[in-house]
Amino acid sequence: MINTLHIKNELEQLTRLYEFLDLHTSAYGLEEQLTMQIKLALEEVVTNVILYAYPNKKDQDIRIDMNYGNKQLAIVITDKGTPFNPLEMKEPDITLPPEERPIGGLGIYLVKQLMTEVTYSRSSGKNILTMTKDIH
Amino acid sequence: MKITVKNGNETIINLSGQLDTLTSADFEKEITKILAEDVHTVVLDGTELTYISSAGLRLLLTLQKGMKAKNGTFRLRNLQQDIIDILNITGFSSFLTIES
Repeated sequence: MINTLHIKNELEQLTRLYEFLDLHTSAYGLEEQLTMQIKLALEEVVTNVILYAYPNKKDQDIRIDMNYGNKQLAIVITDKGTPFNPLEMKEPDITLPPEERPIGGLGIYLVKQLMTEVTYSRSSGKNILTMTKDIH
Repeated sequence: MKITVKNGNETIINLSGQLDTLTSADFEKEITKILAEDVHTVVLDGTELTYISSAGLRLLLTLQKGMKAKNGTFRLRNLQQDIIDILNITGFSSFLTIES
């Protein structure tokens, strides 16, 4: 079964995302560490969408679909905003000392590290980011 | 999330709960205050810190840089393994001082 949440492009709406995630990951019986990793990946992606997909527009829709089956969790984040593929962002150099560390870029890097697979597509005017995590 | 700051020889910050995009704003205000004071040693106690996202990591970087600029020290202690894992993945553990 697919569970769906719609939120608006406001940071305060992350609270609803966390509630949605807590509700369903506990229903799926996922362990705490896994839940934390998934929350992290979802927070990073959705925060990016909230901040950048709809410049100067309020009350815009972001859709999150989540499905668990066959030992795999799949999450799809869809928006109708500016075309943007976060996976094309330059990867941060994680060996740099603190003085040379840029402020951004870490979020998407974490998503790629924590999830099994992350893919992006642009279709019918929508950004569609799909993340999967294999559950052993 | 609950933030407690105790001043003494060392400034000890206790973070309890989840340091995410939303709660980071409160923590950032505390950090700004701490860095503006005459403080030499800051210790972040993570006994009750259960989650950190990139917004929180960014603030650890701010603290690290800010304390170094003052010739002070910043240490983290009692971190949970899940948090240490994130610091390892991002390479933050290579420049932060993490006590067990």
